[in-house]
Amino acid sequence: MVEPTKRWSIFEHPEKGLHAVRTHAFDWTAFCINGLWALKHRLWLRALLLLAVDGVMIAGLVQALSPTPMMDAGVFRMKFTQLVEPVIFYLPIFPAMILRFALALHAGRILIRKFKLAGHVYHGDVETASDVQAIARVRSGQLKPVTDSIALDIMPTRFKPIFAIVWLTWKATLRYRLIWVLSGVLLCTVVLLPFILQDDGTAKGLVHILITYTMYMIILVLGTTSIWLSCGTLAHDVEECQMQLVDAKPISRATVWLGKWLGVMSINLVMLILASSAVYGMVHFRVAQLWDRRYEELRHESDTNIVRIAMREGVVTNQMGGAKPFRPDEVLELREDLANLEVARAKWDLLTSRASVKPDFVDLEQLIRDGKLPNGSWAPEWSRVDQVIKMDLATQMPDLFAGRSPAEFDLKKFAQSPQATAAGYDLDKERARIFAEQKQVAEAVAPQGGNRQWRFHLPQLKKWMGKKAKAPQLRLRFKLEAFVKTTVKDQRETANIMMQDKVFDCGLIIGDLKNPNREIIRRPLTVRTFHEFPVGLDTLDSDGTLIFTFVNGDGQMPLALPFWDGNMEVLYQEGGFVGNFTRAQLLVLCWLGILTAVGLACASFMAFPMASFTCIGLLIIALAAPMMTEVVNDGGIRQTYNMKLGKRNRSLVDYFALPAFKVMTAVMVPLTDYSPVHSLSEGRSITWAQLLHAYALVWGVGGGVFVLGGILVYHNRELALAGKA
Amino acid sequence: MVTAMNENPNAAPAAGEASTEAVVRVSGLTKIFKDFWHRPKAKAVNNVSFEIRRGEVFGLLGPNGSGKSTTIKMLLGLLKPTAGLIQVFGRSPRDVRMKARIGYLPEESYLYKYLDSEETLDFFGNLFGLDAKERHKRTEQLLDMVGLKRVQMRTVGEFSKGMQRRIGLAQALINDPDLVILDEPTAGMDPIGCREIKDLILTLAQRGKTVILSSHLLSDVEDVCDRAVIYYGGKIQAYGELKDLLVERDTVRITMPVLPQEKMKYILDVIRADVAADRVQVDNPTQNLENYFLNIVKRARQSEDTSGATSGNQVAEYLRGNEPVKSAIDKKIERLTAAKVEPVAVAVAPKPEDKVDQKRLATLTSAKPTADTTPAAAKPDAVVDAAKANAKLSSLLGGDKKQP
Repeated sequence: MVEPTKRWSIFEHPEKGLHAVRTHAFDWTAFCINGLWALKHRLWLRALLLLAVDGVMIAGLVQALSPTPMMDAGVFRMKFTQLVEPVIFYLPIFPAMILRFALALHAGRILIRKFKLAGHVYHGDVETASDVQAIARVRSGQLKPVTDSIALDIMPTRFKPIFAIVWLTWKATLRYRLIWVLSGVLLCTVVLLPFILQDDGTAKGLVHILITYTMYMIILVLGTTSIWLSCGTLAHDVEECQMQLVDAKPISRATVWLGKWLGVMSINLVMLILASSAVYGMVHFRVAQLWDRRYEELRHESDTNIVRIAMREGVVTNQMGGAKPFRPDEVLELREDLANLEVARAKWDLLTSRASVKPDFVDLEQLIRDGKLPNGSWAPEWSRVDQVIKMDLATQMPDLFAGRSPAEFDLKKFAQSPQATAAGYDLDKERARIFAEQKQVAEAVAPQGGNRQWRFHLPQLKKWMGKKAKAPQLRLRFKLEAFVKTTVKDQRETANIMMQDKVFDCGLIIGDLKNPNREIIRRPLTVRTFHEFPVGLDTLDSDGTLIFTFVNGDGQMPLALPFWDGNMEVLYQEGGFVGNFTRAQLLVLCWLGILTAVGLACASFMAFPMASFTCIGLLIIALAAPMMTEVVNDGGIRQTYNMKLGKRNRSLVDYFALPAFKVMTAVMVPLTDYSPVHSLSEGRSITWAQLLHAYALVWGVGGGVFVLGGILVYHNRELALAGKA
Repeated sequence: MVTAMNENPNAAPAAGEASTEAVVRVSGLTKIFKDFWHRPKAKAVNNVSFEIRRGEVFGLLGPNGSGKSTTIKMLLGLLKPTAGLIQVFGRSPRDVRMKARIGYLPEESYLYKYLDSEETLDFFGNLFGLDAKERHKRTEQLLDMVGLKRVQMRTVGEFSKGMQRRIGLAQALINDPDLVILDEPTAGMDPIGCREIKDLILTLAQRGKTVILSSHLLSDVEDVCDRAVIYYGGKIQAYGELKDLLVERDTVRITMPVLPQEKMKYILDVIRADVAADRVQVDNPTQNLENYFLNIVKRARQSEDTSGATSGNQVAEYLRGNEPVKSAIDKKIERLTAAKVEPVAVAVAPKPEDKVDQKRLATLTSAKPTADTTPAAAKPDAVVDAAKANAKLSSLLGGDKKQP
């Protein structure tokens, strides 16, 4: 019977002699029992890593498969194991499988490398029945090993060059230990440092500050690393002349450039996964700790106080318990429920993905612009509107009114003057703007003792109506404002300051007035701040409309609810925190992508110090976009006014800075609008559409300019002019 | 399997001899380096024209700053010519596909210092789109060829200059190129390495590959090149077949076994009848230092171990090819490998006990023996030694007569 032959790689050590090892194209043993396989071959570090990943994955699976009745019941007892199970289950399972596959694919090469590192010389492969036979036949000279080793090649030929550049970038960061240092810095920054952060003691405050801080730190650390790495990887290769050797090979410069970008971005991706996993786990861990902290606080409160707090928080109502006092075991439960409530608030409000719906609003300005509101229909308002316009003009350009009262000023004549025509002044547009603005403000004001009503359309929530279980949580959120009617500036300022500490008696009717399920809330509210109230699904009409009526119970002061610019909205859960968190990380990756492109674009024609300096300069300018917007809106850099002239003080710098800032803000503001931190820390949804839009704008437009510019410059560069040669 | 990217549609049809097909065509090539304000700073190459034919070993000679490396860098598309035309395989030097047929060894180590030898070759193999199996095979063979197999896990940054040259040479050959551009290939190399590189160049030429060799070591160029250009001040000072450039047509050298004294005297008398006594020179040929050194190392290798470069003493299998060896090339290889296979010169050299008594010889010939100008024993076709070549180059460079 012919014995089946196997393939053996033959190694020779100067002292230990010949050695035969089996190598495979795809090692199933390594795939199935990767940690043990590494242990068997004395690959200690790999074994440790693989066994740790396997351990986490198995623990995650066990946890995920075991029933969690408390979660099903909707009670969020935030114990550690329950809180981190999504982390354990979702996150490591994919990297673990990828790790297994990669190990099985490279098992042969790993073994060969291990032997070579130990001083063995690889002679080639032979095919015999056993390793002993292989050594014996090679030693006797019967069988000559051939360097025709098995190699599984999954990379298509056309992608090999770009893959080689990506691999090279990884190798450089690994050999220069950047990966390890960066991992350490990131983990210290997002895991250890947050422990010294001071929070306001509430779960919401803690989560908000944790997410804001850690996300900004991730962006800062990875952003600067991306710039440094992208500048270095290209500029150093050009300066050290390695690029001359690469350029002599059949790889286009554009491919080299893109390979470098992909290399840096793949490092960013891995670092981002590491950092965001740490943040995710850390946030949940801290929230879980908060339950214990809150419970400990409540344990020291008297039973009476507990009941009082529970009533204030809405955990118990006046009807509950009737005339009978609460039993000790009931108070104990109340304590737990109050602790749960604290954590649940963070979960409902922040560790979630909430969408918002704005109240119905007729954009009058748009209607007039589109001709849907004929001028005749609102012409009676013109005289009032014109008065406002004249007042504005008198403030902005007092010279126009020299010796004339606003009543004597002919607005039509001014609009036809060369001065106004040259400045693009359009009286009709201005009238429409002021008219719409005034109408809008009027719709926001609830006079003393009066009321105001808004409608929200939420047809997407109709499917949940009548189903209490798993129905999304709704919240009405609005900002309350109050106005002091006085023309004396000092009085107005003082009154506004005083008002911040004042509360106003307010009434809220959530739901149609005829709806038996409507909620009536009467509560004193402060101004200049946001208020949130839970909304029951049964308060919605059958068509998904929510009617909100605000009653001003104050007899002295008109109150206003500015409903524009996100100051009034109904928030509802439309997804989980994991999805939102993932999308936020993808937004961060989007930003890292453009930073990497900027770094490479600068390094395409500059030396490393200059390129990194320029990139950091650009980064600072980008971060200053809000300030530039403010300057553009104010019309000048100086923040002071000339009281005599009634004008803003001008500076010579304005003549240069304003046009430059206008251009820069026009370019940057649309790009910087996509900040993941604010949305995530507020628990707001970052939708897939927003994400795609951000990628299209930031990568497609902003990044495209840098990529194309960088490649073009690099393509035309004389590489042999740079560096030591 | 070699991938499509490396497939050579115009593979060398006839190995061994240089064909008339031009692999490189340079016409009116000029390169002026400019400063930041685009003012001319230096004219590195000035209206240079030459052609390099398939299968020939072409030398680029010249002192430092004469424009050799600039020319090479323009051939590779690393610099743009200010004027003139360059065609490599009939294409622009910036053409990416054309680069699949080129192997380039720069004058210094431009390798990634954090990669080890194996990773370096694997990286460059990937740039050529070679599949994994072929990459590994070639890597093993090349590492064996350049003698770095035992140190392949050390990073290039840890290598000596010579070892870096060796790995640089290996990367230049990973794609089995049709055109090999070697800029100072023997710089920093030990004599064994120099010999091996020369062997390799000849083997490549034997397979119909074209080699461009830029070197300061004139003896290297002399040993392997078919044709050469000599640069000075960015211009070509001499250009043509090397044997035509170097031959001394008014002198003859005869090498033969030692004869009895009477016969020797008779021959010399006959010669002296027509030639003045001071123009006849008789001495014992000596083994050159290169051969002597190689023999010493060969003996030492059998008993000693080294942490430095070793040598497999053979050109990588895929580079050797299977073409039949042409007689002309055989001769060249034999000439260079004379030390290993008992070359003719060594065979005819007298054994120590047979050595002619120098004093007696001097009385016979009335001429002083010259021990320092003995030509290399392995070169029977009367090629002048390095000192002579240098002298000749000096006269060429210093002379008024400029060849096209």
